[in-house]
Amino acid sequence: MSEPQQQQVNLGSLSLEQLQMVREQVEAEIQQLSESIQQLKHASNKYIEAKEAMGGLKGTDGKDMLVPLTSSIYLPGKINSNEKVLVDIGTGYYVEMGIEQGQNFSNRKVQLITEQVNKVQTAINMKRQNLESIVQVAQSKISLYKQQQAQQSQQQVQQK
Amino acid sequence: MATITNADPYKILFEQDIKTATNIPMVTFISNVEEFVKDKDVENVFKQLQEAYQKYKFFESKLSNNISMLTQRSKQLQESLDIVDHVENKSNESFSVQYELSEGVYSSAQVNEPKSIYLWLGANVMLEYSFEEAREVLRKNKDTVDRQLSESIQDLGFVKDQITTTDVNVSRVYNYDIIQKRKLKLSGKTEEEEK
Repeated sequence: MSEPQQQQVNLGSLSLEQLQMVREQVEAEIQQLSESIQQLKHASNKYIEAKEAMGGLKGTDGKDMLVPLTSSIYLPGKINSNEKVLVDIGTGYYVEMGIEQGQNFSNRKVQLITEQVNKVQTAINMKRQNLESIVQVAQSKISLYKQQQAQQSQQQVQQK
Repeated sequence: MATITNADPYKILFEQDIKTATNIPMVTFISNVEEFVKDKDVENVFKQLQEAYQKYKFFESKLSNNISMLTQRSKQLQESLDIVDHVENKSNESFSVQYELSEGVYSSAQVNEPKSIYLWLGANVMLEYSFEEAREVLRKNKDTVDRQLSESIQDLGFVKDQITTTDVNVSRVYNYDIIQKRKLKLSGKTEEEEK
């Protein structure tokens, strides 16, 4: 699929009000993308924790444990994993896997999320550069406006 | 105290003679606005009524949050009681359990003729109970939560009444103020005409 065409805007041709609007829009986009990164990192941490938990299950068959029935009720029991785990692969589907397979699944997910994070980070960097350009143009316009004001006031004084 | 049905806990009439558990003050209905405002500045009266309205609104949101939290807690405790009953019924047999090892990952465990159950009480404390003791603890907690829920619903009804009364008071004072201003305008006009 081809990349969407980036709309080129000549910042110099925009008024201060328009620049302010563009700036707010870019800031909102940066905020949105930053939130996306946070969500992706949260998902990544979830898979890393799952991988570690599966690793902790190796060679524990028959050991005593407290089985969580809810977050506040536990029963004494024994681990009976047979080196197998049930993994939620999304949309209500669960697959029984060996611990190694489960860890590989988690690794693939983490890798996929990391790639997405990198893409979003690149987009954020681009947006930040755009924002800097907008701020610079706005500042130059403001200073130009101030100069014009000063010149006008000088002319008025001279005329008097 | 009014009983709460499972169908809709809000469908209870507030009993006026009951003092609210959280001692929320009652707003007085301004029956005679002229008498009430005569030696006061209308702007100040507005300010006071607006303040009262904001306070009641704050109470309302606080109580609503409290009610949803307590409702959830009550459901959780009922689930826990059901689980205790279920486990007690299976206390003479061995059974296998799927438990959540991590988010989205489940593993299996074997439970052999359970004779006791462990309850997490919070603050890093877990205690072992017999089924009967566990049931008693959970039931006691549920009764407390249900009582608090009942009181909160009662309070919410009271607060909603106060909000309505405050709203009516604001409207009455506002209307009175407009009428007074009109009278002043009219009297000013008639004086000019006489001149």
